Amino acid sequence: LNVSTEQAAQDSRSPLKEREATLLVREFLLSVAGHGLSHTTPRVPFSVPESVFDEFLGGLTTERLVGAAAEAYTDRALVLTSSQFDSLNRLHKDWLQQAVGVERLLIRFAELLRAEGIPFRSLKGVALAQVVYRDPAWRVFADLDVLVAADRLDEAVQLALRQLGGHRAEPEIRPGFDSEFAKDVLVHVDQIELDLHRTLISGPFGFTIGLDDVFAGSAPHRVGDVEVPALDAVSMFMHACYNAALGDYPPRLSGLRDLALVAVHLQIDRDVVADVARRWRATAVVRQAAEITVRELGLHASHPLSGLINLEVRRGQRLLLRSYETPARSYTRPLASAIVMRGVRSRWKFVRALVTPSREYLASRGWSLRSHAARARDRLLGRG
Amino acid sequence: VDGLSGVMQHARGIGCSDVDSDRLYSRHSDVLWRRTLDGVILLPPQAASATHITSPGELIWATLESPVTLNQICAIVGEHFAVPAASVANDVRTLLNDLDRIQALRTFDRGVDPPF
Repeated sequence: LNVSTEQAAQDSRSPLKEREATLLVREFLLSVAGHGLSHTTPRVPFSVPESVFDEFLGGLTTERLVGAAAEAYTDRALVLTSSQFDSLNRLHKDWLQQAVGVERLLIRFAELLRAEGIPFRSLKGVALAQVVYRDPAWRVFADLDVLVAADRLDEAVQLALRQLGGHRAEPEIRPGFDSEFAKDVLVHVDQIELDLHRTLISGPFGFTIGLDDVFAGSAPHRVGDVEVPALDAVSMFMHACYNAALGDYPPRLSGLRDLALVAVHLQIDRDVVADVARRWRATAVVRQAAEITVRELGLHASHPLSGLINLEVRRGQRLLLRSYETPARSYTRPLASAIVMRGVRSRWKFVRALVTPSREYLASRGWSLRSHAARARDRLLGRG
Repeated sequence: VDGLSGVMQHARGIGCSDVDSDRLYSRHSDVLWRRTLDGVILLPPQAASATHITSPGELIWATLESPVTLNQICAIVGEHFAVPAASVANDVRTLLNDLDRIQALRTFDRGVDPPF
């Protein structure tokens, strides 16, 4: 699915021209991300100069906007030359081929989970494409994300390993860590990454989510002739907020587009969202997600997200947000997680696992205990 | 497909070399599929990999959403491309055979309740 940007790299452009090209491509990507959204100023049809088209395609892949570009082309908002059409068409087909493969895996896995009575919800692309998008072809995805009840996570992982022939991307940090503390467990099944989530986001905000609330509701969507439970509207909106504000740094444009669409399509009520955000101690996340999305996609004040920008946020939550916004986030997030965690025993278990992971885990990363400690110290001190 | 029922009415009066006019065709409901910019990608449950069909396959796939006869498919495709229905019959039949081969197609006789 990687698009070669070799040609672009070979172009002998000055640093200034390079910068101009990057900004130009960013503008095109923003136009694609904002295409077809309500409560925005309609954009005039645009075309992409040949000189930056490879970078544009690379950006579509990185930002997961290949489907949105196909939608923009179909709606005649994106004007392509014949060779540009061929390139986009080829790329789009590759992604869609992956998407139907992911859906097939979801059907198989859902059947296994149901047979064992393990509660689950489909997440992210595989659910959003069917629930929120006008045509599922307009939302591409490469991985399968499934939320599993935390106390059944280990069983679900074993099912994926034994019944689907999967293998773990890396060993558990310490025995018992996954079901209590992990955000997710990554299992490779054939060519597909199956991401088994215990919670919706990594770091401190993942520990304050009301997972009982999440499993209390569901909204089914169809995959082929099978019905699969996705998150209900409010949980789906909250998850879109977590992804937009915290999922990637900087945020991926597809995450912002998802959030803008979810808010409108699922008719999110501001008061309901504000209440859930308060209970999940995630008001800062919702506000930040709304701010970024409104700003980047140019949403009008009439868009439902605009009403969330003035939510009042406590100082503690603002500090937790900062743990996601640093290059050392792999270390600052766990530290912040230890702060929000309830119970001395849990906190101790969590910190001990991070400070002294199992030998197997260290070996899988090519680390010793000493190099692991040195690496953490350097990152936290901004030296690595 | 716009105006599908109208086209189907029209199809009754068109000769499409349909040797078995009572046979109905429809998609297998368990086929996973996506619309591409120039066709449709299909992944039937048992298939090793996805299949891409291009125009007029996309139109035929859309038509197969509910049970239709070969005559009706030919009429829809013929009308879409503004050609006589009979002239597309071979192409339609070939595509139906291909879809049948990859287990993307269900067939049953008119008057018999479909098994789905």
